[in-house]
Amino acid sequence: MFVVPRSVILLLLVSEGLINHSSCEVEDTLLSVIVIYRHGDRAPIRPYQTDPYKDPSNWPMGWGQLTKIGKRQQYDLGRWLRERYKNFLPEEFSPRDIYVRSTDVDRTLMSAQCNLAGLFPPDANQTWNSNLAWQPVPVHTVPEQLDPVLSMKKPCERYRQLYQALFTTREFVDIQRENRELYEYLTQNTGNEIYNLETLEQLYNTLFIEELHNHTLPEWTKSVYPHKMARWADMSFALYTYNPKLALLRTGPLMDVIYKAFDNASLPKMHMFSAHDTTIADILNTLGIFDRHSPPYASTILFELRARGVNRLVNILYKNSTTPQRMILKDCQFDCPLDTFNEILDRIRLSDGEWESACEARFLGMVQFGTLQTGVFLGCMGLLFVLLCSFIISIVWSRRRRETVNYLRIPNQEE
Amino acid sequence: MCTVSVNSMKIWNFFLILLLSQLCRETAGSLKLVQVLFRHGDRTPTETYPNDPHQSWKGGWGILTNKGKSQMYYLGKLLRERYRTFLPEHYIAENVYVRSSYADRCIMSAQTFLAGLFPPKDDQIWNPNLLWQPIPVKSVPRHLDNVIAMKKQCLVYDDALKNAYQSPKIKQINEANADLYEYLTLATGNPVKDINAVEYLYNTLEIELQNNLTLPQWTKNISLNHLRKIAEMNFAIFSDTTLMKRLTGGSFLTEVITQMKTKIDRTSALNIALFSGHDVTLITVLRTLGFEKLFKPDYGAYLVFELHEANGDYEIKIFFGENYETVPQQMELEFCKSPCIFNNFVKGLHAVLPDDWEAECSRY
Repeated sequence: MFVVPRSVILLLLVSEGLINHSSCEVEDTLLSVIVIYRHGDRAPIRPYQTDPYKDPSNWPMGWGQLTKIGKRQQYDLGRWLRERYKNFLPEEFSPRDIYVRSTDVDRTLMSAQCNLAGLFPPDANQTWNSNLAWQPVPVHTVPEQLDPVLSMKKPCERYRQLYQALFTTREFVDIQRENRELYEYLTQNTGNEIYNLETLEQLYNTLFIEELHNHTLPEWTKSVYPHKMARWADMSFALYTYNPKLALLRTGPLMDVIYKAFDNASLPKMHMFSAHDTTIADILNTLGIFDRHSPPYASTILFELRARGVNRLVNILYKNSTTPQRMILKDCQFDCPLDTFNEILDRIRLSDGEWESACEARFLGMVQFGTLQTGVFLGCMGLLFVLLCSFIISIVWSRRRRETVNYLRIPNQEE
Repeated sequence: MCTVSVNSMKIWNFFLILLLSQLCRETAGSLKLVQVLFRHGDRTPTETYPNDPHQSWKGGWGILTNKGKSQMYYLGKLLRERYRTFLPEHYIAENVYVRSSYADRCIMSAQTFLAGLFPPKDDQIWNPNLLWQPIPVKSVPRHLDNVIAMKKQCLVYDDALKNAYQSPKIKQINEANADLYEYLTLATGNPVKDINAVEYLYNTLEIELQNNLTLPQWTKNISLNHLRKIAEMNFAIFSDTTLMKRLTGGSFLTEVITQMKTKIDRTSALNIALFSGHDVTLITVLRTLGFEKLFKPDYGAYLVFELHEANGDYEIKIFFGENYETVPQQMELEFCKSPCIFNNFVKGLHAVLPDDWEAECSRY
């Protein structure tokens, strides 16, 4: 089973720049790359009731929308990717080389477009407008409610049950108790109901953005923001994948896509996913390499598959500032053999069909039936009950008769 | 007659001015919502045939070419000009909705169209060296799309399409062209057995011609125009019956009407909705609206639905642009003569609007 007790996780974050590339790495051939990033700088998702900056004029692009800074961040990330993969990814865009998928949210769709503007500036052949150094590159998406892979918003009843159950555990009951005063303070001052880690994180996020955009925060925040709140906001990112069961249902379909991308050489060289802070946290946490934090704008996870001689090696890197860090899986070293990597993924991935059936609601460990099945089930049980009753009755009856007979006989015999 | 007084002249003038100002208001001030469905720009062939001498296309099969990008950019600029007074120059998320077919060429066409429609202005310029800004283009995977690509599984429709290909009308065409099919099968190395195969072949030949490629000798013995006529019939067969229209074009029109309704209810800030689709999408929607003329839509051909507020009521105006560079011409609906009031538009379409697409697709 997939068991990565977080207390035992040995997390080795080594800055890539600190390690000299060994001479044999020069002979490595990059085979496939998976890039997953968070969108760039955005406006707050929503203000709080007493927010001094709740007037929409403070955020002309609209709530939750990508800002100009965010566009630039993604464009720069695209240029950074071009530099890193200049010998791997042809300069000329071709859908055979790259497949881009985004969650169905404006800021991630736009982030992907900006990233690609940096990654694929048109070369001489692809210049279609001499006044515009830009070309279209397709960004695919799936409506959130239908997407278990990247949005992870397709309803999953079993996940909902398990997630609810998480907060009845001792650990979380204690956290609730510990935070009661903090929640009360925040609720009083914001006019919003702050009652758990998720609502706390939403508020933290809004304050963080307002401060980032040079808005002076109100006086009441001084005693709680950022320090008191930060720890809990960081922890909130671990919630969706808090235990192996949650992680499997949450990121299983995405892990399956990653597995298949490295498994099939005929697929594009690069898979690019434009998503959210939660996506970054979910992936790292599922892999057991999450150092609890709020993933910053344009933070990026890279999965690289290399050939070294006959060996196939997988590397994972996490870029949340200028230099990417090497991430080391507990059960594998940095240059992780593909077979070992696949074994690790096998424990944490689910195909579409597997996910669908794993999501069915359970009751006492049993798959809960739909209405039709429940009807049939209850009918059968009823029939069985009737049969059993009539069986017992018939036994009792025949016994009685036998007894009667015996009774009758005995005197006969006695006679 | 000559005794018309100066006064009455003045009155006439006054009415004339009133009338003119009213007309001007109608064209600018009364417009509430614009929705455009367009075909993507110039592309490479999606198909080839075994004996095709032209099998190497730069960039691959079915991709939007540089020419196609320029076309869509041009169309974006053309509509910016047309809606200059209506559409704010600044891109604002809640004013704009863009939905594309899953196909790369359609997503790319939408992006380039938007580059023409919304070049960044003033404070929206995020990169002084790149006068472009990102605008979200939504799409749905092919197997889930019943609005533009119309490929979501629908058993009732699949049966209807099968029947349409077996109909006496089509059988007759197949019989009349039996010799041609045989000739094409031999010449191309591909079995050509129905009008669908002819359409695919015609598309490829047409694109090769447009790119100044020399067609093989065997094409000299056939009339390309005749192939085109057959191809046009194939475009129409996907919306052959009322039922088929209901499950395809009707589904698209439901989307268009829904957007209009939210605008009329004043629950939406939408100004413009764009739909990036294919030649078949256009034909299907046109036929569902009652425009049954057979033709093959050009690159960047587009259909415009305008919603106007007039005298306390809402009026629909429909325009069609033959290609990316033509000014759209207004079309008169058979079932809703101008001025076509919104309610009459919806009523007139009653037979072709599905009540519950999913249910109707599995009903037997």
